[in-house]
Amino acid sequence: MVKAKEFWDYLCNDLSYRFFAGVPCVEFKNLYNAMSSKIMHYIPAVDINTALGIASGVSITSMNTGIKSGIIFHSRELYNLIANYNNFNTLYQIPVLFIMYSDVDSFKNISSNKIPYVVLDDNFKSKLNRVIKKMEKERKPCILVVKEDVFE
Amino acid sequence: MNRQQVIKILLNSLEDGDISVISYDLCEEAFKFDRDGSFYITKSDTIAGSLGLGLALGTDKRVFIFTSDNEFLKTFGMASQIAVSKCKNIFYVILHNSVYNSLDNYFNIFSGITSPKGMFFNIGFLVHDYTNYFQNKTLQKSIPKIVKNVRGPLAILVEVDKKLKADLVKISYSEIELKDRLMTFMSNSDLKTSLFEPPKIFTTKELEIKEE
Repeated sequence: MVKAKEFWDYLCNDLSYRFFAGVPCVEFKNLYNAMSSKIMHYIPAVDINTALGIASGVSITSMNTGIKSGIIFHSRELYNLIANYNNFNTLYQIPVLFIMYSDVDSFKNISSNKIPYVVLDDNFKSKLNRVIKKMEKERKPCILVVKEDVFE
Repeated sequence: MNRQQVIKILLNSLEDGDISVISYDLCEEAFKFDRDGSFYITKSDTIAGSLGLGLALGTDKRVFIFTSDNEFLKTFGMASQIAVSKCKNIFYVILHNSVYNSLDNYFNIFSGITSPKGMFFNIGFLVHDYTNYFQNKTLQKSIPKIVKNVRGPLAILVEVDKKLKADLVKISYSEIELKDRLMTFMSNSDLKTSLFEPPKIFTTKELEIKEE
């Protein structure tokens, strides 16, 4: 189990990911409850492509602001996201951190989409560092997969 | 008026520090009037608006999103996201002709909307309709002055010709070059930003005069 508050503290303060957009996902209830407007900014988006667009825009401005961005969503939204992932983020090399909830069934399909991913576990700091390193190396968004009951 | 002419006049009306995000439908028409602050979405037809919103949140420069009615209809929810953001530096320019130009002018539903201006106003935009300004040559000259003083979130509506008489120019930059160009443009602090007005500093002499 990962303490949601510690997760945000590390991601926002140590790794400079301070801007998030997303489509509400009930499985991330603990993560939402631990958000603090003192260290981060979250925008609830109307759909997943809007969330991706906003986070990508903020990512482009990160050279000036130093603020990096991510999106939070359920794995069922992944299929709506694929077109813009391929035709926009990969093409323009705009990295955005995807924090995605995935249950056991949908997890099997993630690898078929060829999006690099890292599965979050108790050792969350090393997993976060790994996914960010991967993203910087490949210069495109990567997924941090969150399975059931990881956050408390 | 011809859509390309409208794009030309609007792009020429922008300030040096303004960013323009050009959507997929309008890329090749707008590239003829390319400027450093222009960013073209070459492959995706659903992301221009939200990308513009992200840019507007991260910078104090004015961000103009140029889009067609087709793309607006596809991403209606995103338009409301821009409206409720209350960003003062975001401007959503919709060039509407109620047809799909890429589909032999097959009609879309934009003309069926009872009051587009009312619709944009009700979701939270300020609304300007420049259609008449573009039809009258005297009024056309006032467009740069108006654009200079607008504040967002503003929807700018212009009705354009159904027939596409455009001089299309292929974008000569790669996508990565476009992104790098935009990042360099945004970090150029010599360019005047449109929204930040530093507080006026009075000299001691001026203050003395004021007190009198």
